[in-house]
Formats: sequence, structure tokens, C-alpha cells
Amino acid sequence: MLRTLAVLALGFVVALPAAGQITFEPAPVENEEPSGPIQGHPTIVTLDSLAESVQVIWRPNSAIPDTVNLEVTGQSFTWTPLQAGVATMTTSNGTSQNVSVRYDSYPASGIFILIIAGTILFGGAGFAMGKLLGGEMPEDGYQMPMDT
Amino acid sequence: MEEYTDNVALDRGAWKSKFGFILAASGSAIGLGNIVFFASNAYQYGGGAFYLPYFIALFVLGIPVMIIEFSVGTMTGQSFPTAMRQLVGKKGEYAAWWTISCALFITMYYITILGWALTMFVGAFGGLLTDPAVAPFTGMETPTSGPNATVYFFGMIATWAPMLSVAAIWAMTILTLWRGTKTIEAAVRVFVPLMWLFMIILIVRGVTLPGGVDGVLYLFTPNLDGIMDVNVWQGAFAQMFFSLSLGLGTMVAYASYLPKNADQVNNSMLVSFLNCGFEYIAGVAIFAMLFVYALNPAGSTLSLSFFAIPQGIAAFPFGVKAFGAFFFFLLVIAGLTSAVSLVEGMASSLIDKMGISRAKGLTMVMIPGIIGSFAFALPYVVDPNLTGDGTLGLTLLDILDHWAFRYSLLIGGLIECVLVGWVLGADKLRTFVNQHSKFTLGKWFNVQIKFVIPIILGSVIVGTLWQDLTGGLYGAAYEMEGWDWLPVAIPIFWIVATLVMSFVLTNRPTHEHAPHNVTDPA
Repeated sequence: MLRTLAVLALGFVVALPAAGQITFEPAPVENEEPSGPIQGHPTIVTLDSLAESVQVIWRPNSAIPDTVNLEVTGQSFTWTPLQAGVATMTTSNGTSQNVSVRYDSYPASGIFILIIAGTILFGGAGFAMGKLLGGEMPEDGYQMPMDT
Repeated sequence: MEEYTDNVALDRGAWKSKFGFILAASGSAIGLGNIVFFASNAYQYGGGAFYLPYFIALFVLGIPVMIIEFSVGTMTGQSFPTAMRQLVGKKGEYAAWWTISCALFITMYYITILGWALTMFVGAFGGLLTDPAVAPFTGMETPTSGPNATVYFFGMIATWAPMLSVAAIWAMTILTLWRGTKTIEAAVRVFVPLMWLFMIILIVRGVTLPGGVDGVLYLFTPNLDGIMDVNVWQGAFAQMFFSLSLGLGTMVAYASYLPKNADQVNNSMLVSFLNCGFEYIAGVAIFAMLFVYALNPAGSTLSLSFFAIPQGIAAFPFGVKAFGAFFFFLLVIAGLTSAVSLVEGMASSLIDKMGISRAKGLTMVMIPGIIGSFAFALPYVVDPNLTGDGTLGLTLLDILDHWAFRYSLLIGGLIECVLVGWVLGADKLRTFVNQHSKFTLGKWFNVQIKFVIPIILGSVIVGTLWQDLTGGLYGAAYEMEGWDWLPVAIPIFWIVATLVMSFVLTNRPTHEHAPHNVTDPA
């Protein structure tokens, strides 16, 4: 349970001085005010100092991280994230920062699982609650009230 | 089945209503782990893809084992050890006492964590979430700065202040248990609805942040890359077992206060769905919050509860103190309803075994429990550089949790299934359940108890042990000034102590008629 406690604490501490050293400037989107990078949309990334390369790890600290190396042409460069989600961007200078990339359009698979999982869990709970409320009292033994 | 008495005829307390029992059992199942642990696992194992092994684990493992635990309680009207003695003999009682002994260790540090949460709750009204992120960490040498909640946490555990909170949590736990089912039922009627209400408030706040809905969909959108990884399935089955509080004897104790004719299939489904439904909405709230602020949802229960989520709340545009207080209060009440069931499981076991009063049973649990909880809150700094956990108390907690929590629930559940399935007879249990259930369990249930669940639990235990054996002794990499022997000593102490306790308690004379009714003299 606690294996990552200290690591995470240290991670936060290491990340803190880096905060703000990598900045993201999303390209304007019509009729919308984006608050961060958006999947498929060019984003201007500005580094605190010139770096040779930048590595992006999607879903960091998970069992299935996905690493992408970016070509850096200067202290500022344009990055078009091809997927949405949480990522860690690390420069060759060691500067590191987390970034959340929003969906361009809401994914159908996510909406589908959201609905299916919710239906199973709350539908199941509702069904069982209905049985509890509407169930016939047993003929034998103690007649337990539904509520007091 | 005529040999099993109608429990309500016994003078040992009973739930006043079905609804009270459902609230108590779901409150027991929903604890600290439900709030953050599921979200962390879902993130690490592929978001929506994790739901496939999760639901399989719920239907194949979670609900069937809960049916077993509830039925063992109602068949006998006894708590775990004496129930197992009645059903499968002395070996069953020995295994049950071992589980109860492990539950004692888990309760000790669980209440310490609740004490820390209570201290953070108080801190939320001060500068915990609003002041700029500054340091130094009190008592630690380096690092010298960090996000405010992290700084506050490490500063807080290096002081004696949490001792007061730990004492307060123990006092609340004992007060809730003082008059048995009567006071438990009264408490859960307030706490459990509050838990749901507070979580819904956090969801509304999370999804109304810019990008909050993206965070929710990030939780549910499947990444199938890891779905064939055995660790994902192992993680899902272990998560389900821990999440439902199985293998600790608490569900047996709570069910023992039900009448024999209670429908345990429906009760198991309802409690399991409510528990997993709470995890579902907690995941929504947490992913919405953390995604907006680009915080990583991977981590332990403690790191997410005390560092990541408070860091997200601290970045809210308004109502930071209020939402911070909501969150920590939610942690406290969710943990308290689980702690109450843990202590009840132990106290009722002692009462049933020895025929002692409730006050005496609670005292017998409370004294070692408080000593242990204080030990885990010890502020003595052994690792000023924070390569491990910083204080002696947190180091003790970390290492013991690794062994006691990871193994005892799974081993307890495995032994329980084997004994009930093979010694009592799965058919006997199934016949009893079907007498009173609206849903008839088919013969597949026998196969489930005798083969499927033991194989799954055995595989998870072996897999976990293999990771431990090949990954190096847990905690040995920590730099602890003069305390380097702890990673070896703690698991040995835990194993020896729990085995000795089980041996001693099993071999004590068993009281014939255990009275622990509210009218008993204290």
C-alpha cells in the first residue's frame, strides 16, 4: 500500500521547482477557450532552457506506459499530441513536468464503458434493493422489518 | 439444517432492520481503499479495460465469498472463530483466530491512518491547503520544499499531535460499539449517507472544472495494451477481495446478528454493488480532479489521500478550505465505519468464545489496539532524508501493512473456502442458502467454492509471494539510522505473534451460551 509513498513525495518535491519551466500554449480553438493541450491540436511548448531532446511518457507510473521521443528544434517547438491523457514531459536537461491532454472529441468507448459499468453497478444495487423492499416475508422464523 | 438455532432467539443482540444491516455492512466494506485505491488501479491497468477483470472478479470471487461469509454468520449465529468451530471443527477455529489476530494488527495501523486523516481535517481549516508551498519538513533534513499537503503531512507525523487524533478515533470507535448493534446502527444511519453525499459533492466540483469531464472519460476509456498481462488480473482479484473487506471475519460477525432466514444472496449482491458503486463514483471524482491539474492518479492509498488529492483541491478556484474539509471528513467517516466493523469482529469473537460482557470484550481489543496505534504514530525520525518513510511509526506501518494486509486477507479467504467447501461441504452451505433466498444457487456454486476460488486465491498468493521473493525484502532499501533490522523483524514478529495468539485462543474453553446482549452487565 505504501510502497510509492516516499517515492511520490520525493517526486512531488523534485517536480515542484520544475513547475512552470515547461509551458504549453494551445493553439486557439474556435468557439472554445482551451485550458491546456488538446489531442490532435498543435501546442507550442516552451522550455526553460535549450534541450537536445524531450521525452513524453503517456500514462506514467502505470503498468502500460507509452514513451514517445520528440524532436526539439529550439527552446520553443510545436507539439501535436496524438492521444489524450496524463503524460510526463522530461527534457534531456532533467526538467520534468506533468501535462493533461484533453480529448478532441469525447471517446465513444469511454462513454460506453461509463454507461455500462454504471448500469451494472447501480442497476444491480437497485434491483437487489427492490427485492429487499418488495420481498415477501418468510413464513418461518423471525419477521425482520425493512426499516425502523 | 434444524440444528442451527434461530439467532434472534439468542440473547446476543440483533439488527433492528434489514436496512440497518445493509448500511452497516456496506459501511464496513467501503473504507479508505475504496476512495482512492480503485482509481489508482484503474489508471495503472488500462482505465476502462480494467473493468473487464474487475467485473469478472466481482461475480466470480467477490459476491460468492460474501455469500459464504454472511451464511457462516447466519447459520451459526456466532462470530467467525466459534462459527467455524461449530461448522468444521477445531482447525476451522484456529484458522479463524489467525485471521482475527491479523485483523487486530491491521486495525492498529488503520486507526493510526484515520488519526492522521483527522489531523489533516483540522489542518484543512488552517493553512494546509491555502498557504504557499514552503518547507522545511519539520524534523526532516531534506528535501526542503514541496507541495503544502506533503510538507504538512511529513511535518505532522514528526510531531506528537496525531497521538491525540488516534485517541479520539479509538474513542469514537468504542462509543459506536458500546451498545452493540443498537449504537452501530444509529451511527451508520448518519455516516453512510454522509459518505455518499460528500462524494457526490466532490464529483460535482470535479466535473465542473474545465477539463473535468475529460478526466472522467480518461478513467473509462479502455487501453487494451495490458489486458493480457497476468498482473492486471491478479490486481483485479486482489482489489476485489480487499475492497469488500473479505477474509477478516467482519462480515461473519455482522451477519451473525441477522435472523437465520435472511436472504444472503440478495444481501451479498446489494452490499457488493453498493461497495463497487461507491468505488465507481469515487473514481469519477478523483479522475476529474487529478486530470484537471495534471496530477498522476497512480500511487498508494496514503500518497493519493494525503498528497495528490489535497494538492488538486488546493488548486480549486474557490472553496478550497471547505472542499478540503469535506474530503478529509469523508476519509475519517469512511474509515471509521470500517474500523468499527474490524473491532466488532474481534470483540464479538472474544465474547462468543469466553462468554464475557461486551464491555470486557471491547476492552480486551482496545488495550492492545491503542498501544499498537500509538506505536504506529511514533514521531521519532529514523530517516531524515526521506528515502523511505521518515518516522519510525510510518516505517513500522508501511512494512507491517505490506505483509499483514497483502497476505492475511487472501490466505484467510482461501482457507475459509477450502474448509467450507470441502470439510463442511459446499452442498450443505448451498442448501442452507437456498432455503431462504429468492435466487437459487445452482451446483455451479459448489464448483466455485471448491475449485475456482481456491485456485484464483492460491494463484494470487503465489504470484504476490514470488514478487516479494524476487524483488528483494520489502523495506530493506530504506535508509533507517540504526533500525535496519525492521524489515526482517516485523514480518517474523507478525507471523509468530498471530500464530501464538491463534493457538492460545483456540485452546481456551469455549463458552456454551455466549451472552453479549445490550442488557448484559458491563
